[in-house]
Amino acid sequence: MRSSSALLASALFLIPCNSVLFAAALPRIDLPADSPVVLLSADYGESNEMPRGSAMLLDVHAALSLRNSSQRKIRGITLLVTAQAVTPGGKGSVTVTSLDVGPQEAFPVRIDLRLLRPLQASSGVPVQISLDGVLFDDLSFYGPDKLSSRRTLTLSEWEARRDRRYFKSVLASGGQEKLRQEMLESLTHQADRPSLDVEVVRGARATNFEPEKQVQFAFLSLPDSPIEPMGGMARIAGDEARAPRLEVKNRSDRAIRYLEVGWILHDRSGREFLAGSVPAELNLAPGQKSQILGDATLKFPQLGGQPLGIEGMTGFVSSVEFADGTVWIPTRADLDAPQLQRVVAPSDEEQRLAQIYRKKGIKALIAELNKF
Amino acid sequence: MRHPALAHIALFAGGDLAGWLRWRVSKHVAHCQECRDEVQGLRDAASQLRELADDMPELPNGLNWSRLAAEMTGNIRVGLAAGEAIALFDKPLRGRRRLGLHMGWRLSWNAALVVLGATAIFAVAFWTSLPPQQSEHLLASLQRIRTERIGTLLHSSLIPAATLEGVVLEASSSSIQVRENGRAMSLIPHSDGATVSVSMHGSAGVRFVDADTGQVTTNKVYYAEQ
Repeated sequence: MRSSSALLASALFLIPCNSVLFAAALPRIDLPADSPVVLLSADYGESNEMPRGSAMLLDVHAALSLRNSSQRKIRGITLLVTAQAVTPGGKGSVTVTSLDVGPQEAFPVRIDLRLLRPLQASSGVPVQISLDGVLFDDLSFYGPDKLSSRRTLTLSEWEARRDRRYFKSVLASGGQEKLRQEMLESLTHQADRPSLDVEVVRGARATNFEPEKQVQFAFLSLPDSPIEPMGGMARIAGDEARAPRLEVKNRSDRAIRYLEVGWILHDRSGREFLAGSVPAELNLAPGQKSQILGDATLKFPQLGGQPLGIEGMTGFVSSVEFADGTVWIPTRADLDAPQLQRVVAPSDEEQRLAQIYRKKGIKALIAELNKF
Repeated sequence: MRHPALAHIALFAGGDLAGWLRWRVSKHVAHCQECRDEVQGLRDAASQLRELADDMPELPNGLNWSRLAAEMTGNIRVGLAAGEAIALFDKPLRGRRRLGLHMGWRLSWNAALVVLGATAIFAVAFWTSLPPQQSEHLLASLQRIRTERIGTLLHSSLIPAATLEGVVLEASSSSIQVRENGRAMSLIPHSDGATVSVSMHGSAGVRFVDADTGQVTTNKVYYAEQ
């Protein structure tokens, strides 16, 4: 007995701990009983758990295969990812948009997750993956919507329809060559677009030691926007921006329940970056004005070794949701404004179509456009 | 024969491995052709990198690589020392709740340990001969540790541990992360060329076209109460 225990202990000692993902650490996947998607399989491939200094690093590479068990086509899905034992104050999500999954068809969702926890913390990290929402092609929605997935997925679907319409019209008017040119421009735009790393800290307390100043927003005028920005300012200290305060007016004839203002920063050397967005849930009747306040602090780590000295800001209305659930998004013509073209990323759908063109060529792209 | 960890070989190749580990790796490398080749490969790569860096227009002219390396090593050591000092606070918080009446002397004892930790940080800073601006930055960081960590601990001893350290969301094109009290959850994009976005409502995201599936995927992190 003693010798077999010793043998077992020796065997355990010899097992390389960095190649083992303990079963207790695997995510738990919870889908509601009436969910329109069912889990076919979950492959955790090269997931592993290994000590890193005084911490334990858990790498989860989950390839989920889901099946559309509803009678409608799925356009988008959001999965909620929580790790209560590691970060009780935060949570994550994985959203897949621009889908075209028919009834009974399967589709993959990939989740690459990394957890870092102290060594002395209890082993076995319960990661939970649950469904937050599914959007169908008729814009109906299923799910608890804890993360406002209905809005996110609906906005993305509207953008997808706008961009498919645009590229189809390009194809109709200018043929393959014009479409090819558009795709090359899109790929160039994606590659050239300046990007910043950002840290979001809750609360509007500056942590920078540089003196703080108030900077006024300039606004880009989008003629069709149902919202008119009246003015605004934010507090800037070195590479931190916080407490944006905007005044907006509903110039449409419908009540508005949500809006989002894009926030472009200019640095000392004239570079521009899309810093983020200032969203607001409100109840804004036609003609009514309201103030929007942001309570987080955005911190921009040094860019290429140089501190980002924020000198100016520009705002633009990036999306609006009316009280009846319909949405407004900028038109392709709005997005062609030079300042927006420089900083705003192409839509999910434009990115997807550009990748199809890049990997499979113009014929595959045309076939994809013709599916819709 | 059991080879040293690649990280140790890399540190050894750069001359950054100290003490017992350095002796052990050096002894192994002396007798192992495979590891000797690895060390030589790393050294060649480092020198090639230096040559390439000389041609990079973005870098300041006359960049002193030795000094830069020393600063980076110093910063890492300072970071580790600061982490140790902070970790000393996390332990008594948990213990204090269990021990109840023993709270007072444990607090003093740990405050003393933090002072010792802070002293160690200063020693490390001088030891690594940080340039003046780095020393100023270190002093500022210590001031923050003192006010945010020690001050918070002394004034709000009954607040749950999770709320002492703010939840921070980070977004870069290589990952998004929610960081809390020395723990972190990251979602990693399965592609290059990801697009970062943040919202003042308290979320950070990164969007990418999945390299395998071609699907547009957006990973996001949020504050839990959202």
